[in-house]
Amino acid sequence: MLTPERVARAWASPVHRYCRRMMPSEAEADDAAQEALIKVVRHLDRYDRTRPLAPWVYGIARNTCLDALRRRTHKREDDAVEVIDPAPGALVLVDEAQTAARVRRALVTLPDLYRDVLVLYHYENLKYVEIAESLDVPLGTVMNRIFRARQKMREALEVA
Amino acid sequence: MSPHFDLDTVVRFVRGDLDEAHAIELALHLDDCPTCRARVAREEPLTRWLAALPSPETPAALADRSLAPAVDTPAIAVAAVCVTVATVAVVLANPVPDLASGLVVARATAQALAGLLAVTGTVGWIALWAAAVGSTLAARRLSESP
Repeated sequence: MLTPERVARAWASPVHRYCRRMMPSEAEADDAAQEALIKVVRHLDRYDRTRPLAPWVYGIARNTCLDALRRRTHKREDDAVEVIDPAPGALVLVDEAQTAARVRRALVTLPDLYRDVLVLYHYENLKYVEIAESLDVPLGTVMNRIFRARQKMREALEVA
Repeated sequence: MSPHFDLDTVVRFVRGDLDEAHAIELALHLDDCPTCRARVAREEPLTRWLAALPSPETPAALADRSLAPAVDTPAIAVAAVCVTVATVAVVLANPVPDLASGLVVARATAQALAGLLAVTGTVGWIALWAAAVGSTLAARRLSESP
């Protein structure tokens, strides 16, 4: 049975993980995740139980993150993201932390539209159809966005 | 069926989360298909890069904080107004020998509610102002009465 407590415990990590990929800093991700999870718990009665839960939860998390990102227009620059000098193009997985920092930086610079699908697909392991449902867009749009998102990440990371 | 594997299948293959049957099918296909081989070679580096981002640690209290009971602002506001009005009514109906004591009770009630209502949003503030105005009017009437 879907109780607020069960949902909160089961979705705390996925929602936080999603927010951490979407938001530029850890503090902002924590705030967004908290806000999103509260909305999920309090609006649980609005969830259509005949549909899968994941797209609905991620939809709330997405809207919360995008609202927060819009509010921070004045400090949009990557003030909280570690800046690493671009490395040569070849794929050399050097130091793990440095690699992670580069990926995070590339993710943050990605337009929200692309970052969202990429995060849902790569880090939340959602299927195309689930992403389409969460975004309320056709499947083809999701496929196209993921393709373009990967292309942009490749460019940002200078991966061949 | 398309002669080539789509991006989703290739990415899942590279990530290693394609089911065994499909993985074997794709691996066999790669032996004969330079197009899909090129696709795998193209998608593999980025997929590995993306996998390098560690999973963040979830704050321990995240779930608990989201379960904290919501403040029922309208209910608190209504209760606050009722308490204040009742206090003022009691003072009006039972003129105390010491007028100052009656006023102190009314004022103290309103002030105690102010602290509570200050954190309950717009409705709370409206109720606070209503309570304050009510107390002030009552105080004036009391002070004007012989």
